[in-house]
Amino acid sequence: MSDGFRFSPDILARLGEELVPDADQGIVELAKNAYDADATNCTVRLEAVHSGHGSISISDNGSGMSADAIRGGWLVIGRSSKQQKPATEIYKRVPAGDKGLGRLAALRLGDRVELRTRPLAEPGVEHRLVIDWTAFAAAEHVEDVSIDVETVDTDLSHGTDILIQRVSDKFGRSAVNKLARSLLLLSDPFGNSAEFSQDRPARGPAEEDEPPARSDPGFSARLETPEFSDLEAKVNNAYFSDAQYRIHAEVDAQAKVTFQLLDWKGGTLHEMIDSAAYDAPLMTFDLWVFILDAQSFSTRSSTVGEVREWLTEVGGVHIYEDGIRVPPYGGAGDDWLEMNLRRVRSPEGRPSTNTSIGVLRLSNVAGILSQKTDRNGYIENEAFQELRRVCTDALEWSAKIQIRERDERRQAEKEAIARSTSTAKTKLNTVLDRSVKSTERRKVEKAIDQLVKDSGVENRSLREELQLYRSLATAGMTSAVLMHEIGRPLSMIDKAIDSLRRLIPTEKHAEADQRIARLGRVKQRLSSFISIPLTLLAKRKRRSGRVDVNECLTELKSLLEPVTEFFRAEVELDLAAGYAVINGSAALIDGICLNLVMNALNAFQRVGYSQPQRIIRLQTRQEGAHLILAVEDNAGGIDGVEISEIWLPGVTTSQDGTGFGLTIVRDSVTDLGGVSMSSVNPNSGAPASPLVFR
Amino acid sequence: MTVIDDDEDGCEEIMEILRDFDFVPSTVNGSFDDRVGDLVEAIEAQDPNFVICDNRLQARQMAQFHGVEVVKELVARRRPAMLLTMYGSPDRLMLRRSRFDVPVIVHRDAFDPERIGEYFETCWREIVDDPVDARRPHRSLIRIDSVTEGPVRQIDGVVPAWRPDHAVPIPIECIAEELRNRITAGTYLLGDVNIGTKHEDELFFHHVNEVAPPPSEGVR
Repeated sequence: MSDGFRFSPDILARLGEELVPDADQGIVELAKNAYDADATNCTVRLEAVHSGHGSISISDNGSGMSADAIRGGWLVIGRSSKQQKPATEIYKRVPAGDKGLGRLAALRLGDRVELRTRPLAEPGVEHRLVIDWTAFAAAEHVEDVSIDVETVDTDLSHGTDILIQRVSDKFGRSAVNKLARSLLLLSDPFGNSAEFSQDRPARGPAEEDEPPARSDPGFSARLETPEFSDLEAKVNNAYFSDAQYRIHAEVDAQAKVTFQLLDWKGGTLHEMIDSAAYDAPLMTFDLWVFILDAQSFSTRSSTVGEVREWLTEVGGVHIYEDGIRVPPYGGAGDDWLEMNLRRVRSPEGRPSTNTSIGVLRLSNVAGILSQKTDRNGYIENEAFQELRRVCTDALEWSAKIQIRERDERRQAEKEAIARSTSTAKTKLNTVLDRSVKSTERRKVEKAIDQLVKDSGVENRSLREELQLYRSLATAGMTSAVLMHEIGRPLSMIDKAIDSLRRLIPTEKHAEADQRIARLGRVKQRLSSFISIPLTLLAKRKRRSGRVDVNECLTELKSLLEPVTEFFRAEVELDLAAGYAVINGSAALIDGICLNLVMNALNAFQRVGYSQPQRIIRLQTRQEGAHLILAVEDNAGGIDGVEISEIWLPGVTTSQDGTGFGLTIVRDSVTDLGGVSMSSVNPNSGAPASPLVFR
Repeated sequence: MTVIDDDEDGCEEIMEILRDFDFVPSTVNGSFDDRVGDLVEAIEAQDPNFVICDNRLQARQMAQFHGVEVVKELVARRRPAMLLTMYGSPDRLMLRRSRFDVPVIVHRDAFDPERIGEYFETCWREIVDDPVDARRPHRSLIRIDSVTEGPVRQIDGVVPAWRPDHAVPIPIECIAEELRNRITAGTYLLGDVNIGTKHEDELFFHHVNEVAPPPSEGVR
């Protein structure tokens, strides 16, 4: 007699419901198994689960399991085969399920489980088994209870049905809600939306002999739960109805395009028929745009967090060709319409892949679009470019409308404020007339006047600051435009020099070349100077996110080299060896450092100040949880103005100074969550500007 | 002829232009910090007939002073000299401060080697105390148009005899010290102004040392 491990039935509870306590996660695990079986549909039905003796069924139209697969896989507990498992056989999906303990937890939700599976490879055959957990509970060891796999004939199509009966756990609303969310994240967003279901190729018994299409038609997980019909609707309609608005574009047979802006109910807000012909295939483009803030969701059944998570999984614009999804469009990291770039360039009124979900449905019966040989996207021929142009034009058209409406709203708000101020004034006078004795009236009026005066001072200071930034913005934009314009004549200089040289007699070439070389050097210097504002104005620099300050300083040093070299100043980098990343944008770091460097270059040229070795040091260092950015120079410190006033707008020590530089530094540091300080070292005369970021 | 410029390419450019017109240019190299006298001595050592000096000498560390100081000193030593400048807005006020002592200031872009003779004559006539019409001082009435207080006190004035409808910035240093705190918008002063000039940049204000009673109606 041989001995070995034997398991008490209690181990099933340890491994099942105790390890995976959330019932919904177990059910999702079974739905993932359906996905891994190349199913296109999976239906989870909850019957009377709140009563404590309901049932749960999970049915799919996947490739099913053979009797051997049931015995060697499905009935084996605790062996995760996910890591070894290659992509799925038919649609080459990356396996999502872990055929392990989550499944056991789900199966143990009820007293009895019935499995029926019809393999694609064995048409007309169904394998069945029943698990009676009460039998296990009564047995001494797990091995004492046998489970028989039975095979019968069937005329049903391939797929798997799991029925969990006499569900002991009471399923409450929150558990069903969690299940609904999980199924949503698992689903192809357009797979189960009623709006798209007509495009999905129906698969029935008649098709079982045909090999399925190699293109993945997507996976749709449905939830049926009569007790919680609103949550059922959530899965079946996804979160489309929570969108703020929807952009719709359609190309008809005459290649004419209709753009529409629809509200969340589908009502038309704006419409434009573009007579410009597009050489694009028949197509419709829909983009649901969400405003992900608490205010927008205050009146909705979903939460911002839910929708944000859903969009993280499914956001972007997906393409469906004759009902079949074409990867990689709309997949993770794919932004084929460059929506994120557009949003960075001009944030207002423009969605990103994180705030919108879209679908482009097209008919390619005529074959004007060709997919690449690896089936990963289209060859970008003229038809594809046109198709993209329709979508981007729709986005631009919508953005213009959004911006125009925003301006109208702001204007209306201004007028409303002016009206309400006037009304408030009248009301106040009426109240004063009624409530305040005439002897006291002057005192009260005086106090009110003082309050109004103080508010006015604050408003004026805000307006001045606004004006300051408008001036700066105008200067920046003007210089950007001019820099572009200067670039063109600069490039003409080279050609002009070459053509002039041809006119010079050969014997004069040596003499002329000296002058030409000087002209070349001057032109080179000018080109370098021009490139500085253009680089600083690059849009990518204004993108917010994680910014490596060391990287910014290194880039800035090399960008400014032509300038610092001209002024014979040496820029030293002294960078923290460790982590020098903060939240913000490169533009803010550039703004801080560039203003301080320019101040130093101006200070070096002050009359009567001698500094044979001009040094500017850009330093980062760690001090506890802080990152210190220090910009130091040996240009003799600040004089002619109180140190406490140097950050104020308009304060300058230079006749042609704007007094904006250090104000921008201060505001940029504030924007980056830092604290700015300034100190002057009277011994070395070096002003230090340590900027601390938390 | 000696050319002074801290930017080597800028210096070479002027010298080449001069060579094209058969002049024999030279230059002075070195770093002079705040020693205007040393630079002037270095120029004098070459004994040039004429000196052309750029105003900004600090960028590439030739000096910590402006070229205008060099030209002033040279002219004071009866050495004909002219100043080249880019005429940036802060330069205008600074140059007006010294305009009386610097006979010729030309924008770099407007420098014309064919007019060297004219530049020299303007300079030389001033040295021999016979200035050209555009540089001749006339005792003139100056109406203070506005006084803007700030880190740098800005004074705008109108010289009716030059242009009755045009206000120009007047450096505070051009006004006698004892009058500086007495002037407000509407004050009339008397000073020497070269009202024969056509260009605002050439105006100088010298010996502005009297407060004048308001003029009669007809003069306003």
